[in-house]
Amino acid sequence: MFLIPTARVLTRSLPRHPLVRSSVTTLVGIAIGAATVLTIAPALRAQDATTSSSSNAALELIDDASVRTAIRSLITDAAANGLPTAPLVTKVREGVAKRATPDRIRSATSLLAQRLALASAALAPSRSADELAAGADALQAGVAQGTLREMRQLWPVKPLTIPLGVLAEMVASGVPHASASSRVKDLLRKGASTAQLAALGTSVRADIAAGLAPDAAMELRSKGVLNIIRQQTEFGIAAPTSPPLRPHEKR
Amino acid sequence: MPNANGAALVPVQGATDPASMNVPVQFVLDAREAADASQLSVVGDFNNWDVTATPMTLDAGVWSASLPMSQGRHVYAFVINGDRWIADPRAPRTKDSDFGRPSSVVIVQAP
Repeated sequence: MFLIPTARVLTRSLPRHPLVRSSVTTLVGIAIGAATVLTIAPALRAQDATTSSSSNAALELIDDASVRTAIRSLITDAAANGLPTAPLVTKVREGVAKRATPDRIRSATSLLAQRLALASAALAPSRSADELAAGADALQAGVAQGTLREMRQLWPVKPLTIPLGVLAEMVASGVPHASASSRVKDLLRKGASTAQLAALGTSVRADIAAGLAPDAAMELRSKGVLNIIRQQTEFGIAAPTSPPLRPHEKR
Repeated sequence: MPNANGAALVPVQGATDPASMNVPVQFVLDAREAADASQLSVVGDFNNWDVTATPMTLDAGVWSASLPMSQGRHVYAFVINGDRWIADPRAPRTKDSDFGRPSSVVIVQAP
């Protein structure tokens, strides 16, 4: 029995003891590295068709006609420029739900549109709404646009949604963005999987919560992942086709 | 089976839906963290920030809700009684520079 203390991805649990957890994390990292599921995002056109009515509904929730017009124009321009509009609609809904003023909603939506444009330029030729939204989040966290461009060069085909999310989270957690960006790029360059990157993010956050300095936690955990990758290469460890099952805990 | 805190949670082995690439995620909150709550919901970018979309249920001292989420980084919060927003006390927080409300972060990754 284990208590799930927070938002929990319902996959498989790891032992509680930190030392045990570290070793098991390693095994799981190796095991699921090759089993990472690649996301194929829907085409923007299909998405925008479904969000056009949604955007109208969202805009009607704003009690200011001039702001509604301004945001509608923003969304139209974004669509014309090939940007995903779903994140913009979601931002409007977020502002309404949080009872922000109309001007603040307009400002936040406008800034997001700008970040999506920057992300789109850096992550081209991606048209994935999820990936571009992750890029926009990373930019908001303080990651440089050039870093996004370099990540795309390192991973020209694989979706960067998870790596960008982890990078944004690391920066938001206090890891200096230059250091976090450098380490994530190094991991991409050396062949880390999205599962390994996601696990790294979890480990770094746990280390920081336990009192380790953010930069030190990032260095420690990224070196750990690099060691796993090196061992995989040196010893020819083949990743199984499915993650290992953890034995049930005795109750 | 109740744990030391009296909470009874059943671990769930989530199956990935290969069609949608969504991953089931469970949100939980110790009822003691929201002692005045008669209703609780989870809101985030995954449900269009709709306070009524994902109500949580209270069982054995724990509020919980499960829903499929796309892979990536998601921002969310809990809403108590429809109007009080709190961050998840056991998840990393994110600075909401847009609207200034407490928010938490979860990174969803398929197994």
